[in-house]
Formats: sequence, C-alpha cells, structure tokens
Amino acid sequence: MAKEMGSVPSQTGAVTIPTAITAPRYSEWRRIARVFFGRKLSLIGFVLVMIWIVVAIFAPLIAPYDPLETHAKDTLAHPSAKYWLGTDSTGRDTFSRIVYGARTSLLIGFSAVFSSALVGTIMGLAAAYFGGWVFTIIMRITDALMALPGIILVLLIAGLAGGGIPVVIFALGFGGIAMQCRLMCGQSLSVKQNDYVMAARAIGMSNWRIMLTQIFPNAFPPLIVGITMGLGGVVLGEAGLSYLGIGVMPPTPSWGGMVNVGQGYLFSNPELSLAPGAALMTLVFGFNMAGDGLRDAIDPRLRGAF
Amino acid sequence: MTAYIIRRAIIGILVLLIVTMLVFLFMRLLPGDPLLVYMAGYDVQRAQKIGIEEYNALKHQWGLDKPIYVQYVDWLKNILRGDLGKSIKLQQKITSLIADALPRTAYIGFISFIIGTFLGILFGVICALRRGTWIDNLITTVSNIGITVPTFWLGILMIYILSYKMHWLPTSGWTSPAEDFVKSTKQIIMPVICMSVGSIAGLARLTRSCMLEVMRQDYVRTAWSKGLRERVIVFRHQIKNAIIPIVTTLGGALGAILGGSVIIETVFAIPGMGRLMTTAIFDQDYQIVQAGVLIFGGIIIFSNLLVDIAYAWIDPRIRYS
Repeated sequence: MAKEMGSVPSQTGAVTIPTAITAPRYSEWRRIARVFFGRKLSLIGFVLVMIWIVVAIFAPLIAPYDPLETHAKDTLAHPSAKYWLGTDSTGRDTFSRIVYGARTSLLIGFSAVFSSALVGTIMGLAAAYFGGWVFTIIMRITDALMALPGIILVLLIAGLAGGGIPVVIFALGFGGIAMQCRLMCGQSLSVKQNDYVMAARAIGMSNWRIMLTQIFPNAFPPLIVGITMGLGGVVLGEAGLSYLGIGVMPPTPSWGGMVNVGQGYLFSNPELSLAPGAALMTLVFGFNMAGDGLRDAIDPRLRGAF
Repeated sequence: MTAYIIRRAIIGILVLLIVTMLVFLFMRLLPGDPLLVYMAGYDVQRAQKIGIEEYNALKHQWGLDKPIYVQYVDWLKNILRGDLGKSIKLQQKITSLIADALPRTAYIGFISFIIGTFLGILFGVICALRRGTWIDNLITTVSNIGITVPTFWLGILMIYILSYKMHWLPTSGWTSPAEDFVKSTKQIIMPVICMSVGSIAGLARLTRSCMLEVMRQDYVRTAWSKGLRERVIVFRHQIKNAIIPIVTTLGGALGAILGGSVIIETVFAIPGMGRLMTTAIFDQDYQIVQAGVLIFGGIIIFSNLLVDIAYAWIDPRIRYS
C-alpha cells in the first residue's frame, strides 16, 4: 500500500475534468499489467485467486477422499495424517469437502457476477444513452433495489424460491444488477459526451450499434473492476446464505454450510467450522486485493465508487 | 434548501413504494405458500391431506384470494392506520412482534454504527497523517482483512477464543440493558465487534485515500506556507474537506449494519429484527416479511435522505445543480 501513490498516473495533476477514460490500447494494457503486478498486495490477491481456481479445477486429484463418502468408524475424528482436517459427524473428510467447496463457491461466484454484469450493463447503457424517461425508470428501479441491504434482498429471493445452486446464482445475480447498472450508466454518460459518438450518429449509425461499438468498449475497463470486486461480495453472499441454511443445499459441500453445521461441534471439533471459514476468507481476500489493484491500475479515480 | 429537501423526501417515499411493490410481487410469484406452512408445518404428507375447502376458507380469511393489486392497496391502507397485519404462522399482531425485536437490533446497530464511524474515520486519518510508517502499514493490513472477513466466521472464532478458551464473555443470548446492564453489555460486545468491523475497515480505507487526496491540494500547501499550526491545518483544511465523500457513504454503512444483523443475530441467538426476518422467510410468512422490508427500507431511505441533506448543507454546489 505504501507504493500506492506512486502508481497514480500523473494525469490527475493540475485541473482534472471528469471525462471517461478511453479504451486502453495494447500498450495501455501492458501499463495496467505492470502497475497491477508491481504491487505486492495485488500480486498476493492474484496468486490466491489462481490457487483456488486450480484447486477447484483439479479437485478430484487434490482431495484424498470423495467429499460425500462417509467413514462410519471415524466420525468427528480430529486432524491426523489420515484426515488432515478431521471428519464431520457422518465421517466425511473435512479437507476434501473444503477442496470441493471451492468449486461450489467459484461456480456460483462467476455465474452470478457475469449474469448481473450482463443485465446491469444493458440497463446502464440504455439509461445513459436514451436518457429521459428510460433513465428515470431504470434509475428508480435501481434505487429501489439498493434501498434494501443486499443480503436481505438475496435472502428474500433465495428463501422464497427454496434454495439450491441455480436459485442462489439467480438471487445473487439479481442482487448485483443495481450496482453494475449504476457503474455502467455513470461511465456511459461521460463517454456519450465525446465527439466520436456524435460523429457516429451523424453518419447514421443505429442506436444499438452506437451503444455496442462506440460507447461500450470505451466504458469497458471499469466494468472489469466492478466484476472483480463483485466476485468477492458474491462469494461472501453465497457463504452467508448457505450459513443461514437457505443457500446451497446439503450434501453438496459449501463453505458457508460447513461453518453452519460445524458450529454445533465448535467446542469439541473447532476445525469443522473454523477451517472452511478460513478457506472462504482467503478467496474473498484474493478477489478484493486483486480488485483494488485493478482499480488503481486502470483508473485511480474510481476509488470512491467501490 | 427547503425545496431540495422536499424533492428528495418525495423521491424517497416513491422509492419505498416501489420496494414494497416489488417485494409484494416477488412473494406471490415465487413458489411457497404460507398457508401450507401454517397448516402442515414442513410435513409434506400432512400438506397433501389438507382438504381443498378448508384451504380455500383459510385463504379467504387471510384475503389471499383477492387479486394482487387489491391485496397491496388493502395492505397500504392498513399501514396508514398503523396496522402492519397479523403473522400467519405465529398468529400474533406484527406490531407487537416488531415492538419487541426492533429495539434490540436498533440498540446493537446504533452502537456499532457510532463505533464504526468514529474508529473508521480516526484510523483513516491516522494512516494518512503517518503514511508509510509502521502504524499505517498495520492499520491498512488489518483493514484489508477487515473488509474481507465473513462476519459469521469472526463471530464463531470469537466465541471459541473469548468464551470457550478464555471464559471472558458469555457465548450468546440477549438481555435487556434495563434489566441487567452488566450482563447485557457483556453479551453485546462480540455482536458489536462483528457488526462494526466492516464499517471500521471500509471507512478507514476510504478516509485514508480521501485524506491523501486532500493533502496534496494547493490550499493545503498554502496553509502550510502561511505558517499555520499543524492542528489547524489537519482539522480545518484537511479533515473538513476529506469528510465530504465520506459522509455520502454513511447511509450505505448503516444499510450494511442492518443487513449484517440478519447473520449476526443468528450466530449469537439474538431475538431481533434480523432473526424475525430470517425465520419469517423460512416460514413464507408474507406479512412479517413485508413489514420487515418496509421497516428496513424505510430506515435506509430515511438515513440516505439525511445524508443527502447533510451533503447539500456541507457542499452548497449540490443544492443548485
């Protein structure tokens, strides 16, 4: 963090007029990569996320046992050479369940964030481009969605629809739309002011074509930051839902669900609830730090927005 | 200024109406039926044996056979009379359920909000003023972990260490501060830490970067070259200007604390609004969920309104745009 100020481009010097950042050219992406990987924390974040992605992909090779396999003779075993993190009340290996839990977390995280980014981007683009009543309606809807604490909205949808992975993805994806829409709308509004947008209109391009080929690519970089930041929140959200018993349904391994069940054995087998929570924390920490680094590398002015 | 406040207030009420409408629609579009839960619990076999006449009679009694918009208008009319309806599952008036639950959540939430705001801004200012020193690195590292830590896991970890290993604090539960102040305070220490850790960490990070932004402005350099004392520069020039963007996030911080109550009240077995909402969602209890949404949404919209007013008051440019 100490080097943070050093990474701020000098363009924010004298008088800053809030215009949109133009789409990075090839060399610009290299600059972003250099700033991003030059910071210790972003590097740590990137490595943590990569480790968990590798673990999720190669779960069957890494986990010593099947995550659903019960060992009737070894219930509530303490950590040992045989069971690295012990077993739960039905004798399932905690370490293997954490490894497979990474799959659940990442699957839900990526699916939910990409769906909310897709819908939010379309809404934000339309609101910014058309303005007028389209803008007013879309903004009032996002206001309404943001008036409830995120977790309550998500809880409401997941709880009423009965839980399960698809429902959790839908609920978390829905909950993220408002933020992505706001972000895209703000960016597009300033991109819209550029002369090339007027030029595109003058040569008779259709509205959708202008939005997709002129505005979207130029409002794109902050979207990457929004997605990375969103991933941390969504993974936490899924764990929270599963902890409350409304998210991923047992026996599918999920970190939040494991903490919930493990809490019952906190005093005899603390690793049952503490270990999956620690796993969850490292993944969320990774996403947050990578998001921070991307934001500072792409545009430090976004700092207030996240 | 008055016109500005009135305009913001009208928008706030409009947004609250949209929220309740959306929730009303959601609850009826999604599968799940509060009457079945009431009549049969979670027992599927019992649910199948319920006679259709009996079910329809109950549906009529609760007014759930009317079209959605009629139900919504009826609900609004009752609210204007101060009646939030009756819980289907618990068969109790919701106003009395909320009168019990809300003060508990408000008490813990308010303390967490004050502590979170105060410590967050304080830590952020310290970091910015002592940038690059060990204390900056320490606070920054801890805040990076603080915005990440899952509150339920932190809660369980504290129960394990502070209650089970050290025997310092009771594991969970709620006692009214009027009844037994010492016991009550001991019981809310861990929930308050869990609830405020996110705001402390988030605000410290934001304050730090806002302060650093302000510290390199020309007027700060002018203040130094005029020979003003450091205390005057820090309080009158730096903090006063850095606080503006921070104030705008306080509404969101309050929302995060209210949202956090849902999980934290489950961890520590506190019978507050969060627990009431969670169990109501489990039971598909339409009436409680609607009332809860109205109250949570109302609090957040009202606090955002206060933030908007404070913002316009601090920064006059906002009023005229």
